[in-house]
Amino acid sequence: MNSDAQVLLLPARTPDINGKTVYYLFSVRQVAEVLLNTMIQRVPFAPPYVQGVTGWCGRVLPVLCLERCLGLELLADRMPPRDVVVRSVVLEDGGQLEEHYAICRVGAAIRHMELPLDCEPGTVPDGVTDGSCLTAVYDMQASILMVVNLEKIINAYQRKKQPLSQEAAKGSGVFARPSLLWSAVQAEADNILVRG
Amino acid sequence: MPQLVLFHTGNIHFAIERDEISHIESPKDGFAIGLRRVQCQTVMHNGGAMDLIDLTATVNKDSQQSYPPGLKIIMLKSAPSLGLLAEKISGALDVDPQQMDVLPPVFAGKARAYFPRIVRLGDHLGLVIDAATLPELLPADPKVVEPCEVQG
Repeated sequence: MNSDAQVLLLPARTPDINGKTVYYLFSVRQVAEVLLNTMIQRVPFAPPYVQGVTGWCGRVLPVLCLERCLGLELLADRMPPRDVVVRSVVLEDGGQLEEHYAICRVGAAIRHMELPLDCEPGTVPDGVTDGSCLTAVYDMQASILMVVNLEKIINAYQRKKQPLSQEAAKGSGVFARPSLLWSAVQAEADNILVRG
Repeated sequence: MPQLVLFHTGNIHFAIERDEISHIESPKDGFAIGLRRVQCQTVMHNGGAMDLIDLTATVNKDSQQSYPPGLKIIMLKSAPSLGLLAEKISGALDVDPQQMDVLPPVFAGKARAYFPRIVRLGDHLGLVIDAATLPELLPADPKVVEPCEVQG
């Protein structure tokens, strides 16, 4: 099976929105590992959406709560959690591409699907207060799929040094055409320095 | 190779460079009575006022638990009237620089200022405190707190 055409739907730990289950949509290539149980070291003065840090493969990774990042209600007891190691590439000050990893705590009922998906472009779901953290939104039958802007979320410190443009910071209400679904996910994945 | 003193409070592990520490005090029994789990409070200690900092107060603000016995106070060279609260001192360790990482870039502001580095210690992590920044935790307009019935 071609990994370029596979995606993972990671359940958001939030109540259904308008009767639809909310998922985060990631390319398989963006996901490095799914962990069952992570020991988190909390960090005082961390942003509310950062639960702490943990060690993984000799690295120190932040553990993110994407629901809090987006402003969604957190329903931690909705289902057992899983910690998903995701990666993104950011442009450092020196112009070099740097691979960054983070852990996203999501629901355990992770779905593995192959593209193309039968979905339509969607709007920013009710309850999301920071649309700039999303790259795309899709409606799929009884589900809402959100593509998160990992690069922006993971790289808050550098972003603070180089503020987002007004347009980018504003976020947008309606996202890509269905035919661009793969493009949205691929755009993230293309920036990944794939190993092996 | 820097030597770090490791301690924890409120289930958070910290480390601070040995050279930054003036000395570590073991207050008498009863010192914790009357202490509140707040970021900074002024207490009478050894006949003078001391600003006592609990770095974990911001993440444990819902905790109504009192402090356990055996508290330690880490006194800093750079701020003699400032004490850092430690529930337990784990020890001192010569740390290979390769065990140190910078805080991930998702952290900005105060977290990055106070804990710019992290040390990997087996299966857990320790936040390395930048002692020079700690006085910034003190309120700009300090108010005299209710007198505490504690003595060093």
